[in-house]
Amino acid sequence: MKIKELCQILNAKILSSGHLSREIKSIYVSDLMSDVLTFGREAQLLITSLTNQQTIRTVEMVEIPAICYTNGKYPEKKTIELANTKRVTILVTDFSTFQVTGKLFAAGLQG
Amino acid sequence: MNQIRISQSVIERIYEIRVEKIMRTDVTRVTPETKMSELKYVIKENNYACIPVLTGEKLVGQISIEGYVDWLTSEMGDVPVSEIMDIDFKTLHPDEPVITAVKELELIGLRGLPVVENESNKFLGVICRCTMMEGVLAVLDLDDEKESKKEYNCILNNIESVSALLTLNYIVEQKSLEYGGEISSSIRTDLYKLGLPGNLVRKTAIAAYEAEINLLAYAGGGTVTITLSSELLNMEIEDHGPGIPDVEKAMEPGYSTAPDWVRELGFGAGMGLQNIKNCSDNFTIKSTVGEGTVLIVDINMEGKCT
Repeated sequence: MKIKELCQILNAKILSSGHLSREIKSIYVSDLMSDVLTFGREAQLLITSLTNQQTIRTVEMVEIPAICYTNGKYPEKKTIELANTKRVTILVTDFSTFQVTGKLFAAGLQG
Repeated sequence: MNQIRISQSVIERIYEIRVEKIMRTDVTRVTPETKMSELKYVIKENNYACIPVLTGEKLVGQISIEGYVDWLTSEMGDVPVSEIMDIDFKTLHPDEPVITAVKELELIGLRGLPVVENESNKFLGVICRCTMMEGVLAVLDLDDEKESKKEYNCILNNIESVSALLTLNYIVEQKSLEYGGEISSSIRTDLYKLGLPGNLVRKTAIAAYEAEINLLAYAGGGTVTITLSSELLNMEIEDHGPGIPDVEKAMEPGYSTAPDWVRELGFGAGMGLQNIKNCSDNFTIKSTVGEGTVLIVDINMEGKCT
């Protein structure tokens, strides 16, 4: 599924564009960056309610192209700037992590 | 309110994009003899941009949506397009920057502008407001992918020496943990530039990142030294921090002494060292209380260099 389509399902705002036409193959949900580093895979979307710069650094290392921040949490300006430099897409949705996961699961995405 | 910041490189690239890259060529064309009443469907097909009027391949006029509305409200009847079309209008050339097109559209307030070949006036396509942004984004995306897939020649492949070694040194300065990852990011970029296989770069970057967080959180900074040979990547992470009293305990998954501020950043769950070990083919840790800690990470060069 394309990042653009995910955006529609989650009614999400795009804060940094990155690669919008990139295909997302699966989802990883975690607020623990060490877990993302261990289990994260490329072409995934990371769903998290943590919004600091380390989330961008983490996905950069694992080569995850997009992050979705839940609960309507906006990241700091610095996080957005870093995401722009690293070409990472940031989405923000008002839905909770549970709701986001449910919606994407229902849309056929797997972990 | 958060605003989207467009990085300088993106702005530079927007200036580099030429009209021909994002113009639409799938527009319906009409001839001067076409009846005005036939344009109803063409306008929709052309996404409400302008309708080019062609004699052969040459652009002789255009009907703008505004012109069409004027005709609708007039009482001219079903006249041929030639009587209504604008013949004096702005055109774009394929090699002009997109920014020019944006300015023209803003200036004239039109929805679209035709693109013609520089001298011959041969019709090539249309730039219209509604698809312009999409076009620009697609080009930027494409450029990016090209960039990220840029293939570097692995320099190690070109070295004939039996024991070629290349050493890269990095210093992790004591800074706020918020900057953790800057050095690992440089390491990752450097290794890609050297043409090393993706899998190896990924493992190294992850191990370096966990180690960098540790250096900042506990040791007040340190150094990372990477030595490359044709079979092995060796990474040594050294600090002069307080040292680890019980290394065996520290290696246990889940064991952590991390203070809350480390945990708030999404780390400190006692997985760091374990994670570094998992990324390595050979992992050693030496630590002396009061002197510091040295981690040695060896990763085999799997597969060939690109």
